[in-house]
Amino acid sequence: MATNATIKYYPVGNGDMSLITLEDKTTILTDCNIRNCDSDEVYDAKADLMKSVQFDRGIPYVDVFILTHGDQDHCRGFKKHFYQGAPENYSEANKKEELIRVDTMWFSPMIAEEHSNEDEDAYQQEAERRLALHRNNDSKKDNRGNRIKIIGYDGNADYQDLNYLRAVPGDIVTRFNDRDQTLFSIFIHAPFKEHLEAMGDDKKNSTSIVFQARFRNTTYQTGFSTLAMFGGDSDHTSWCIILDKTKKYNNESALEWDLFLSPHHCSWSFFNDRPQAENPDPKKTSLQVLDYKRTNAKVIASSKKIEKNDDNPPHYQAKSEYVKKVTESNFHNTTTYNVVNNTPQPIIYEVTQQGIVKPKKVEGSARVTGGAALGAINTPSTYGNGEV
Amino acid sequence: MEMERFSDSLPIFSDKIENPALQDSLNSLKILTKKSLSIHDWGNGRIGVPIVISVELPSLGNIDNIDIKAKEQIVLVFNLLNYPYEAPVVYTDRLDFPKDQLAHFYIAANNRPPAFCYVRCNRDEWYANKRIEDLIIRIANWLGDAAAGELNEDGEQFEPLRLEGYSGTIIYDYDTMVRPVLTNTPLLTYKNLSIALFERGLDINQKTYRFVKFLNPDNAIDTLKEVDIENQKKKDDSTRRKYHYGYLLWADEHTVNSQYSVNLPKNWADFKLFCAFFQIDYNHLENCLIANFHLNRFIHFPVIVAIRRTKPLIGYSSNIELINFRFWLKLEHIKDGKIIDDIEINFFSHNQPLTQKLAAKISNFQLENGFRTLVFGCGALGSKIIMHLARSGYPKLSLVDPDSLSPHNLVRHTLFAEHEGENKAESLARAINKMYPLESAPSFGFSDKEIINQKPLIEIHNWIMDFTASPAFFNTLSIGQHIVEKNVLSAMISDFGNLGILYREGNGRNPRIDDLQAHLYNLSLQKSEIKDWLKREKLAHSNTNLNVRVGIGCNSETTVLSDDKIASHASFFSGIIKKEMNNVPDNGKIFLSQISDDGVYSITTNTIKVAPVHIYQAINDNSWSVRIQSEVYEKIMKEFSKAKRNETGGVFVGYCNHKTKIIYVVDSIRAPKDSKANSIHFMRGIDGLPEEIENAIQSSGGQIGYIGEWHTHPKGPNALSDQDMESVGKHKLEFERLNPPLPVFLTIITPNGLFPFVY
Repeated sequence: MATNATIKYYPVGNGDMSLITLEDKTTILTDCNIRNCDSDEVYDAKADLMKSVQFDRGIPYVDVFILTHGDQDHCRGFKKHFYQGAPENYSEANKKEELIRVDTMWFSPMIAEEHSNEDEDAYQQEAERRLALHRNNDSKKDNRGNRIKIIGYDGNADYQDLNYLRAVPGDIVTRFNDRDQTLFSIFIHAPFKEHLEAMGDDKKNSTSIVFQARFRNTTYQTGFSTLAMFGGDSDHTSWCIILDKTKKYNNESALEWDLFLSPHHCSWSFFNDRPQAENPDPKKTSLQVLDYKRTNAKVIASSKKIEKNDDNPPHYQAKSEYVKKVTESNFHNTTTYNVVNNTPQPIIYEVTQQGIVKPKKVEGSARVTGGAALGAINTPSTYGNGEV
Repeated sequence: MEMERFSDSLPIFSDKIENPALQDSLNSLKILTKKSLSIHDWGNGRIGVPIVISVELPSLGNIDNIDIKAKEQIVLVFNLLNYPYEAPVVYTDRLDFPKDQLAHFYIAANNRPPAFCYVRCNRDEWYANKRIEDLIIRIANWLGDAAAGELNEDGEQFEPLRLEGYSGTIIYDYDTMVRPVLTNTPLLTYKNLSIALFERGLDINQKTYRFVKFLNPDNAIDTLKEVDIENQKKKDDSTRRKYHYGYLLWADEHTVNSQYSVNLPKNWADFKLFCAFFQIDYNHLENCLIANFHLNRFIHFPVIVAIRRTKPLIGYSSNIELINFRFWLKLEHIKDGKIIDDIEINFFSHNQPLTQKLAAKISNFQLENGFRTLVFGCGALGSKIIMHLARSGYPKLSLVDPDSLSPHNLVRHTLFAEHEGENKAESLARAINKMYPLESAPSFGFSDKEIINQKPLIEIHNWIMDFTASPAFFNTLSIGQHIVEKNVLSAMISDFGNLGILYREGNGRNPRIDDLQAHLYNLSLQKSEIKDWLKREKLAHSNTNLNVRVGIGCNSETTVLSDDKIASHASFFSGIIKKEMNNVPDNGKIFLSQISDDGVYSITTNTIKVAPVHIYQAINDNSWSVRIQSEVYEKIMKEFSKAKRNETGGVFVGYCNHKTKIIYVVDSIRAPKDSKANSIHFMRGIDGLPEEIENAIQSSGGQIGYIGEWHTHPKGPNALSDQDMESVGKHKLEFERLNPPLPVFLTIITPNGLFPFVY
């Protein structure tokens, strides 16, 4: 049986990191927040990623990396864990360091102009390196590890000459890492031009890349098996414009969703301005966005445990609004969804023609052996009564 | 009140369960379900344990709204005695379970619910490595897949009915069988009905019918006669063929059905219901059966029902699913122009006749293009390699062997006793063609070896293989002028059956099999195993003459050599051949398989690459040719350039074949130390030379030795000088007296090239 596409939301606290794996094993990583794993409570996202990506002659790679915006909690670990520089210089030492090559990066010029952290800088520099290759028509520009897609419009820098690399809101992307996909596409919602004109104080958040990932299981299928919405930290004003524009251009199907990654880690900013106490009523437009949910749709809060306190996000009130729409059983928090030995585990869905299902349970076997990681092997065992 | 669960109808099992493995698994189930189990008597020494399992349903709702619930009731049925060797059978416990909508159910029996078909292979084998917990996971996944429409391997195709409990088999080609259905061409005036002839083996217990042909207006009379002749024959006549007329019926063109009926008919009444379910009109069949009752000599015959499905069937070329039955019809079953309801109907499986494509797929052997191969020698080694190729889906073989099968051949030949007295090549070809009844006789057999001289026949073959173990044929094949641009290989067994040798020629027949042979002999100077082998051969044949007959002809009662030894060489060779068939080689190759029979029995193999040789005609007599191995050529050219202005020279090692008039040069011995040379003169010394020649002779078991000499003319001419001619005359005098005589072979090397002379 062909393997189905999967969507994995990593438990990375208040941060985002999601991996889409298509049935042909193409991987699309949206944001990363790879923290140091010095405590049991931190899930080892890097180790998981190494098991999830493909290898090209021993080099681990993701087909596409989409950085929704440059906040630290969306790109933490990029500099340390992803390869930057000319792909032909990837060394044996880099292999040992398990640096993941980004075959194609998705880059939004608008969101990348205010650098606030070194991971974002690294992403920006790598993007500029690739853009320069394309601008100079370098013979290596289309090699894996040099590919780049420009999302949305230009900020201060002018990339008009590279418009063939660009996708703007309203576009549907079907080609990923130089390969056409027949069962998967991405509808781009944001960032749009209005962002350039009216940028609020939280500029980066409001200008996140927002997209709808669309899955089908067969080419003759009418409609989609699964629709998953990703929106970085986009706020209610962005969503208001998205709603407005998408309706205006008769693209309402691009608003539907089965999976909704709650923006900004279940922040109130999706519903209204913060602080919530001053703006306690959710905007109608935000609620309308949620009404495009399909049957049994689920909201994912990629955040810390959601508690009724002042440590926001995540906002307890935001969760309440989501639950009103999808019911408690369809609202999942990455930190609490599935905890094994104190460590939160990823939320994974598999795409079937009838929508999403949890991954199948894995059968065991009657024959077992212990692995090298067994505690018993890694700690001394004493037997008998006396001292050794 | 209507029952909801099937298990409610079963009595409680009150005996003690003594099987410890079963007790264990029931305990595990109890822990898993967190409930105490109710155990029912399933009958037949089995218990039924109903449990409820959780099923993960897809978010957008079940496919086609199939009624699968998040909590499903199932019954696990355990064999009290044979568990866990007999895997549990799992049934749905819901009487309203939507079984008709799903494949992967076994046909229900005895008014029980249908069982899940939860593994593709044998469930006992699967369960041997699984625990009861794994089975529960599997059933839950099965139900989840069913709800999401993921149960079928390929969503674009229709999963055929999952059937069990066949009483026998009908062999026919699916595409042939569905042709009348797809083209809607019934026999004569019948509607949606055709008649076909089937044959059954002579064994009385044989439950296999093999499709022969459909009846049509053109062949009907002849077929009736043919069958009649066979029917007249006596029961004990060994030539009698058992023919049965069978029937194929189908639904109207527009009747398409996607239901899985899980009840198969066991009698005529059931059959009528079955047909009604699939909207197939059985009246024509009934009339036809009655009208033609006397045609069938036997009371049983095949009936095949064609159901049109909504999508193409998985693994087949159309949407027609064929269900196979055997009917038992006696005269007393016919009353008032109707068949009475209690005639017995069995359920049969279908087997597809073997095709090249299927055999190749099963063998994982893909040949790029379908070229033909001409094989000489269908003896012990040949027949085994031939059958390996034929069984791998490559039957395009033209086989040549003059011999017929003798009783002692049965020890080592692939053919069986019933072929005694038959020509080996023809008999093998027949056996191969019988394996592939749908292909138009891809294999031919010839008893005439002279075919090697028939150019047009050679032309249509891309490969020529020699398994004759015949030195004469080896010569013929080596020098055959018309064998150009062919892939040639020759394989043989030597060293008392312990050494297998396969020569595979290089591109454009260079190096040729004889070059490869020469190369192998020369390796005796370097490889002790080759040296030891050639010495043994020499010893074994020392009573005859110096020439070792390499290659054992197995067609002799006195050859002591077991079938398994030949088989191990043959399977190695056929593995090589299959690889080489998809290769275009630059070099020639020698493949060796060596069996060590002392102490521990072991097999080692070896591959030697051989570069193309340099080929010359003798300048003075073009009936002679000289073939110089490429290493030798490079060696002497190096010495030539190293000597600069001075002449230099050396002695050639190799052998000559008087029959083919070929001189093979496999090595060159440098000018001995006492040689003298200036720019116009070369005197070849003798220091150490006899020892070196003796070493070559000893190592190779006499296969190679002194064969000629060479020297250089740095300033020309390209011809022999008077002095050279004098030496030739001197040598000739000596060589002529040898038995057999040795030609005088002298080569001049000048800046213009290499000029061989043979006297």
